Amino acid sequence: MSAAARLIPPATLAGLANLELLARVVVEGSLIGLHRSPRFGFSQEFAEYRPYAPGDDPRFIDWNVFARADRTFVKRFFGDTNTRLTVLLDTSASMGMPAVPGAVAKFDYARFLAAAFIYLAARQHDAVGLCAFAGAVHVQRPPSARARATQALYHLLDELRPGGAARWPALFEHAAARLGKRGLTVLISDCLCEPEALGAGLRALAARGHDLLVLQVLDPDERQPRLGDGTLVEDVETGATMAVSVADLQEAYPRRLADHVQQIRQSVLAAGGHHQLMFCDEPLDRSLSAYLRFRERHP
Amino acid sequence: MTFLAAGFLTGLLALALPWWLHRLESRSPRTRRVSSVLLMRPADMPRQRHRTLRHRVLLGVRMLLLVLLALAFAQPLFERVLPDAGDGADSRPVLLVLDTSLSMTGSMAPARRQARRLLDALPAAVPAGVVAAASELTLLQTLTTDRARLDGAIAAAAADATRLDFDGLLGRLTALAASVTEEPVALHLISDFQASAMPDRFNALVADGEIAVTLHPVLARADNWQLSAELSEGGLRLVVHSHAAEARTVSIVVEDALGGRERRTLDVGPGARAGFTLPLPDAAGAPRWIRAALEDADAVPADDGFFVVVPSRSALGLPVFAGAGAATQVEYLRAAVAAAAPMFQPGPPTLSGPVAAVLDAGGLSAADSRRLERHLAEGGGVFMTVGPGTQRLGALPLSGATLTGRTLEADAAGLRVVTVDPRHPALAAGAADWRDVRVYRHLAVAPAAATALVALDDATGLLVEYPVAAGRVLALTTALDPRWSSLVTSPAFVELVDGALRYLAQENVPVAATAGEPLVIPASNAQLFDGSGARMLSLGDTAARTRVRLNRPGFYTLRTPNRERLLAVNPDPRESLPAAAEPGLLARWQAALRAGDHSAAADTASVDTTAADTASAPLALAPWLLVLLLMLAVLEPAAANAGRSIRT
Repeated sequence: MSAAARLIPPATLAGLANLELLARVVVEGSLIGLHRSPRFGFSQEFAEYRPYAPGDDPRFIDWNVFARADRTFVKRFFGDTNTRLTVLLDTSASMGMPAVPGAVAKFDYARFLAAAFIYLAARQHDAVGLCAFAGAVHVQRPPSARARATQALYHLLDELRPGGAARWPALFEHAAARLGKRGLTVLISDCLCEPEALGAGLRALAARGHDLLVLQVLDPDERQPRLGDGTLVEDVETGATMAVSVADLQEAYPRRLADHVQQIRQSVLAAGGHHQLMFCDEPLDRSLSAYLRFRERHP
Repeated sequence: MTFLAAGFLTGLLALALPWWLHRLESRSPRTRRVSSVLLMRPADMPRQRHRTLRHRVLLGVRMLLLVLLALAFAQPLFERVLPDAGDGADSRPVLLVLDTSLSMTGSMAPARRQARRLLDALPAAVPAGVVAAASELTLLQTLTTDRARLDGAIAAAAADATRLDFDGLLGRLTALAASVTEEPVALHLISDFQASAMPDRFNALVADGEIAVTLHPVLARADNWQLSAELSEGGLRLVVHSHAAEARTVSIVVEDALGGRERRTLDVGPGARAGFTLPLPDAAGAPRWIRAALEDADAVPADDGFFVVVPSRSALGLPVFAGAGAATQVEYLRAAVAAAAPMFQPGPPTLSGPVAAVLDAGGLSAADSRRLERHLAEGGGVFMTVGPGTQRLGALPLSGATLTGRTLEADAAGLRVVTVDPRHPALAAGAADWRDVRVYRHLAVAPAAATALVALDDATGLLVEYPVAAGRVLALTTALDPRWSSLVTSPAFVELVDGALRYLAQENVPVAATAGEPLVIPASNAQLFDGSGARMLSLGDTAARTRVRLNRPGFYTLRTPNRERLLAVNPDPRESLPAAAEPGLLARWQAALRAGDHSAAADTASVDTTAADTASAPLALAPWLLVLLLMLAVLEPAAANAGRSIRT
């Protein structure tokens, strides 16, 4: 796998029918591009010496050091880095936009990301689970490190279709009740919702000890919609319509979008999570890099 | 054009296109599905209202564009009250031209009122003139600022029985104006603008030159009945044409030269014609003239009568003087006369008619020469040829001409005819082709006092005319013999004999003429008398004038030294047709004239016989509509693209 694989555009990746293959292409390319390898995955790796204190497990005393220095030191290792990764995938109708043949919709991009995360996590023996939601959580797979379960997740991702309106309170109630043990939770969504609602849910998850990574996926056209004056727009989820003006779209909308993204980011940060804004025309490795940096900080 | 014109209504169907497109657009606004409208804001209501308003304005502009386009092609006219002709802004001299043709008989009163109205509107310092236009242009009053004289000239303008044709009229008016003043003039033409007087070619209505012309149509819708007659084998056919809206029983009185008088009545329907045929007795008992007239008066009395001259059916004697050895020429002459001029009866050399033929003039006896000289002195005509006898004589008898002594003998190629004078009455038929004629022998005569009507390529004359005393001699300088020339075997020979004999016998004077048309005086020393016996020609005219116009209907007598002929003059029947030219044609004519400031439009007047002489002016709206159309065509994209910006 060459470094150029990192730069494979999403539209090209969309041509890969096999999500696992797609994930492998993305992840391998991403790892090759990193300057230093992550330290997790070496569960017996030496970390440091620390003077023995009462209560320490005498099995970790380094007797060779005691023989040379006549002092007892406890040998510390990095702990077991296996964690529980749960991908919360937004399958609401808004993720299906744009519904243009040949273009990568947000939902496709989100699926690629989810597959890449599943592959990456499985590669380092993390337990991986999936929770797909729209109006309600309609797919719930608890985290598992088994290879068969991972394969099932790929198939599951492949069968998912966008539809319905996202109901964030229901999602977070469900997640808080089902996620159980602490672990890493990756939320992949366009986050076109009220930032307060999202922040409240994330804070509830964070309170249960979950590490949060929010990948906000937007379509490039959503940066500045190309609409004519007097065009009637229809919300694909709610069906609400309104006539918009070109002047507003050109002047005020980009400012409102930036504010919205910033509010989402603040909400995520307030919950102790990490926020990454992505557009569907960007290489997928940016999100993986963010994930890896996140794992580096939270071994 | 009215708003119910089929073309205009058909053009309006195009309005459905922008209406349908706009309705489609308003019914199906562009709807785009988006992920969320969370971050979007609805367009404010003023903007929506503005958009709706602009939408409707745009629809109105586009529909107005199509309406204007259809209207422009329909060439509408806007009737407006006639403005004062001389509105003070124009100081050019003004010529008021009144149509005084026969058709204006019932319209002269409104025409005079129109002329006076124009005159009253003129500034006092602007000179004006009055012209009567019929078959001739008559300057009734030259340019003057004296309003009294102008009023008098207008009052003096009266319709005659002649015809006014608009073909080339403006050219003649321009020439007349140039003869009156060197300044550019404004010309007002007041006429009924008969449709029958309009030329076939529109260009004939336009004249070059600095002359501003305003058209002032006046029309009197008066009932008129017109009488016409036609001679045929069956007799005299008299027909009454009705140009009236009601049926009428008309009485026709027919009088003839023999004192006969007959009265007939006819029922004539509106717009119809009715007539009867009056049998004529045989040639011996036929009257010389017949006069028919409608008894009941109508609006145009001049076309209520008709004058007919019954042509004489007796043959004219043609004495043939032939020298010894001219038998061949006699035969050829007899054959040609029999073929082309049966009204002449070749006979022995006894002078009894107006014309005589002399074949090989060199063979004339002295007694015959004297008789022929007397014949010529009395105004007779002689058709003469040469031959061997003339060649031996060395001179051309009767004419006084001498031979140059140059004689072209037999030659294979012969001489060609290079010039034929088609204006001469003897050659006026002009149908024959002289190019095939070859002359092998001819006698060149001295050109003094002679007119070569047909010339050869050696610059000598083949047919020459000599005026001798009161008579004329047409001399052919070759013999009627195939050995002398191929003329006798050419079609030109038959035509020449016919034309020459008629000319010399003065039989080419018509027995009927149209009032106003020029009559060709066939001989010098002729005098013309009208129906009352008054002389038409002055003493100088009898010697020099060759054409004269007979403007009044009636019988005229043309008296030449040896003959007297009767001539019937009647009005042009087209002058009785009431149809006026289309207003659209007048508008185009007016537009083509590029009249001055106060004459930018044609004027029309609907004048009836009672009192209405209110003038109005139809303004051609098409140019203005096109200007408006152009402005809207610029406005439309501006309105359509207002508020839009180009996205880069």
